[in-house]
Amino acid sequence: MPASIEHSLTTTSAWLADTALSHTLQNVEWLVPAIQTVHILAVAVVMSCVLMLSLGVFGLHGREQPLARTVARFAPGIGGGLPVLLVTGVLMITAEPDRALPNPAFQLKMALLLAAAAVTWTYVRGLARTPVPSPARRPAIAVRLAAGTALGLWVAVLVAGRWIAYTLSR
Amino acid sequence: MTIASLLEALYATPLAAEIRENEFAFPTIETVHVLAITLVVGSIAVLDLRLLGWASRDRPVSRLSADVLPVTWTAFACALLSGALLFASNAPKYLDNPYFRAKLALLALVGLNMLAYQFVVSRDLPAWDAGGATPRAARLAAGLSLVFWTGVVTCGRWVGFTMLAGY
Repeated sequence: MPASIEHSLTTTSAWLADTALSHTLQNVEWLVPAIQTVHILAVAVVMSCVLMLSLGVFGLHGREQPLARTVARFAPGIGGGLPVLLVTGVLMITAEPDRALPNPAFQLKMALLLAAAAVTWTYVRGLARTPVPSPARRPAIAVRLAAGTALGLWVAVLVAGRWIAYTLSR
Repeated sequence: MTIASLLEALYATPLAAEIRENEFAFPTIETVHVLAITLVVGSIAVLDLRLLGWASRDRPVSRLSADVLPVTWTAFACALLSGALLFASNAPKYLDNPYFRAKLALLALVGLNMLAYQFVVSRDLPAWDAGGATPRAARLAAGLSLVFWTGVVTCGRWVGFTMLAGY
């Protein structure tokens, strides 16, 4: 990583750790695990919806109904869970900026997150614009590939997230 | 043989030592455990929300169960296996942890609730499967399931936090 980015990360980290919110999060013992718990519950919603959506696209469940119904059932869970993950994630970073911002596992997680969200958004939007004409037809191979890629990327986001605890740079 | 000596014997096995001492073993198994539990909780919540009448009312309960339960059970098997390995790595310390004990108790409640739903509440499923209001008992079982699973996740997080293996 370029030295200038490294430097601004360190400065941001130090500033964030000195805010009143960060002090509160550091000093109230149960706050961080409580926020982590909400984060994991939101991960449960997003991850399960991603998996159910992908399995639906692969034709592994709900084959007797239009794919649009499966999309309508599971896509909102992804869109609804992400803001919760964002807020709880920002709170965790605020509590311990040094644990996250300079951490390679955290940086990788953010890159994977952007990729996962982009691929998911693109293919779900594509399915909404050009619905699969009948339950008997399978989605295009490109859509199935995108669903598989998205699933793999979301799993990678979770793995990188868990590894933040084990790659502390301090 | 007392439970304490059993736990000590488990602690002394090569497998337990390997999970404790290998730098990658514990975080890897823990990652599988977290992935599995998120899929258990998220997939069962789909069914709970349907039983509560809050989502998926366009799909019969039996069909939705067939959609999600294979995911739930597969993930549960993975969570159980990975959890057993994490437990084996330091059995005496885990069993001594109050949050771990609470988690086991909540899992027992989850199991009882599921049995009650399976064998009592859903006996007249055909009457309310396709649509309309679900019976009060079904809504109660679904609400309890959400509460118990939230408790399991919470206790699980607190186990990690109090054992300081990696939080």
